[in-house]
Amino acid sequence: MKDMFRESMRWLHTWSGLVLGWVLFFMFITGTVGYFSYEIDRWMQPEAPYASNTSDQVHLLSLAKQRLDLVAPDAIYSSVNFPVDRYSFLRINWENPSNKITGEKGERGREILNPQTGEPVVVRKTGGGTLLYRMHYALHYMPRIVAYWITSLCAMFMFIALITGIVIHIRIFKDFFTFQPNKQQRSWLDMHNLMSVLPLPFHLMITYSGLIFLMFTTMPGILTASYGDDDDAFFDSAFPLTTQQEASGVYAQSIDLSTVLVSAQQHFNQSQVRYIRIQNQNDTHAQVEVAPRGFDGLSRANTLVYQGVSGELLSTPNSKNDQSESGSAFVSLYDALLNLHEGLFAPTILRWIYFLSGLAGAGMIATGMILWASKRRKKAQKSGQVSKGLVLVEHLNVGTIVGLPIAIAAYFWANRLIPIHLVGRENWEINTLFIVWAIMPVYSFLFAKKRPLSKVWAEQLALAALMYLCLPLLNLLTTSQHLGISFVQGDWIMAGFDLTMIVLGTLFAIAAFKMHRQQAQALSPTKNSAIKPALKI
Amino acid sequence: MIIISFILTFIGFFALSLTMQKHAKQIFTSINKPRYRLSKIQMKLLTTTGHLGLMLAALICIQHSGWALGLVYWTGLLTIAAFSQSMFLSYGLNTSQR
Repeated sequence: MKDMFRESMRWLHTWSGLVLGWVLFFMFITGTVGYFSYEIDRWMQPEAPYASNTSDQVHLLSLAKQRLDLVAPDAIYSSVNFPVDRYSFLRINWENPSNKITGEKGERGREILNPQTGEPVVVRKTGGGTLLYRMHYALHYMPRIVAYWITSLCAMFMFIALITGIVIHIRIFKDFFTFQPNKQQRSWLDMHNLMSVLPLPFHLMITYSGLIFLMFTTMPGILTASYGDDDDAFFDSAFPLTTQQEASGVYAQSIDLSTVLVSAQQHFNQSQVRYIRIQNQNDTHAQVEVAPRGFDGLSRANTLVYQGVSGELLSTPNSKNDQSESGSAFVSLYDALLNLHEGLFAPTILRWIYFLSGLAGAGMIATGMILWASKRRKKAQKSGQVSKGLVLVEHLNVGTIVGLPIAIAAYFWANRLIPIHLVGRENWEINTLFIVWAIMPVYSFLFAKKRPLSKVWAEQLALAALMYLCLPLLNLLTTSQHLGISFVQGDWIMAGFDLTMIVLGTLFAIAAFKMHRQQAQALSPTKNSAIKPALKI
Repeated sequence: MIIISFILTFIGFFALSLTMQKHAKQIFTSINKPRYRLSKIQMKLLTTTGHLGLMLAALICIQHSGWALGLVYWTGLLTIAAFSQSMFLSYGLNTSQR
């Protein structure tokens, strides 16, 4: 009976893993990359000059204000985002008043400014890291709602695979540290176990919170049951917005923002804040909001809100805290899970741990898929019948496990190579990613008969290595923000990206080299060349 | 903080892995010591040391960054330390019987 149970769990684990494995791999990789979305955004907009994290914000604000007065003198809303922490642009946003006759919403704008001169910087259009990150739940080329359903379904399968995986992996503690290299399938299984068991808290958290993220799409019935058709009633009661006042329509000169900034800096006891924004500008109901750096536990530290005419402090961080504590248990759990999922609070080292855990998740899926194929390959080899399906899975495996990283590198290449003024260039960047990703498995599958699988692996790994290693070089040739300059300026975000690419490229190169050597051994006459070697680590 | 906690978790896992027959064999044969069976007291000692190391690391993390963030740090460090430990056991030891 017990064996029956385990056997059925094994079946469920195998097939729930295979069916959506490639999509899950895509979600894990893009989501993991997303932990550095701001940094990638910066790399993909190299025109913006380096903005030091330590510049005088009062001065930056005056520069921004000058520009805002010029481009949007009547704006009802404007904000200035400062270059702090992971964010490296001085950016202004504004919204013009809505049309009084038609009621149409006013025009919105955003610009990145040169932190030295206050001049606007024309940056290339790009989806950036934000798009990569967004694709891990919204995918691409499809309506949002469809994507949400697909990604939710994948997360559900992932959750099933995790739970069943725990059940079928009997010796979870006995094998806790076990990794036996050079034992082919056994090595893959060990690696699969290590990458699943050791970051298990991360995997469970990320999958479960991912499901929670999208639950309002996938389980609207629960809301409808208690709130009827009025969705807003639920959202208003569960997630009350901070008090936002309507404009009164009576003119009143707004307070000078720099006064508010200085006062807020003193209040936070920080010389740097994240942003300052003003609502209902030049109205008696104007409000100014200032956001501090840093986090209060896992959530963002609370902002300060000032009355926009008198400059009176309307809310202090403490009073807002009391409010959130009175919120329901559901909302605090929801917030905690979402914060954990996004990891926005994570400082550099923790961010890298997040990144590595995410990669382990992708590795878990990849090793699982490889195991699926290598087990069946072994059986097929014995019986002498290799099914078309198996060959297809094998090639999809290479084309995704190595092909997707190649495609992401191609996305970065496209960012530098597509002409800056080309209309719709940002779409072509992302098209490049998908075109390259599609080519990889198709190409290897078409020539499957001529080349052994291990050769395909070696080739694609070598290609990945080449593409990543050359990225800093490409950056040097096409921009003025290359390693030599970013190092000297202390622009660690720009330099960090280039260095990371070198590390990634090196890792791919090592893998390619190992693969190549192993393939050469396998093809030498001393070994039984009829049997294709299972991959070794 | 991070480095100390990492070292503690690593030592903790090292001690715990020694209590496991399979890994004790790996470690002791690598230093040319044929006998690798541990006495009951030694086992107890190692287990306690292991758990203490992990707990101490948790305490340091929580002390340093508060409950919420501290536990996130600790969980992350556990993963990294356990992974390095298993890599150390398979590649780091000078075993003749690979």
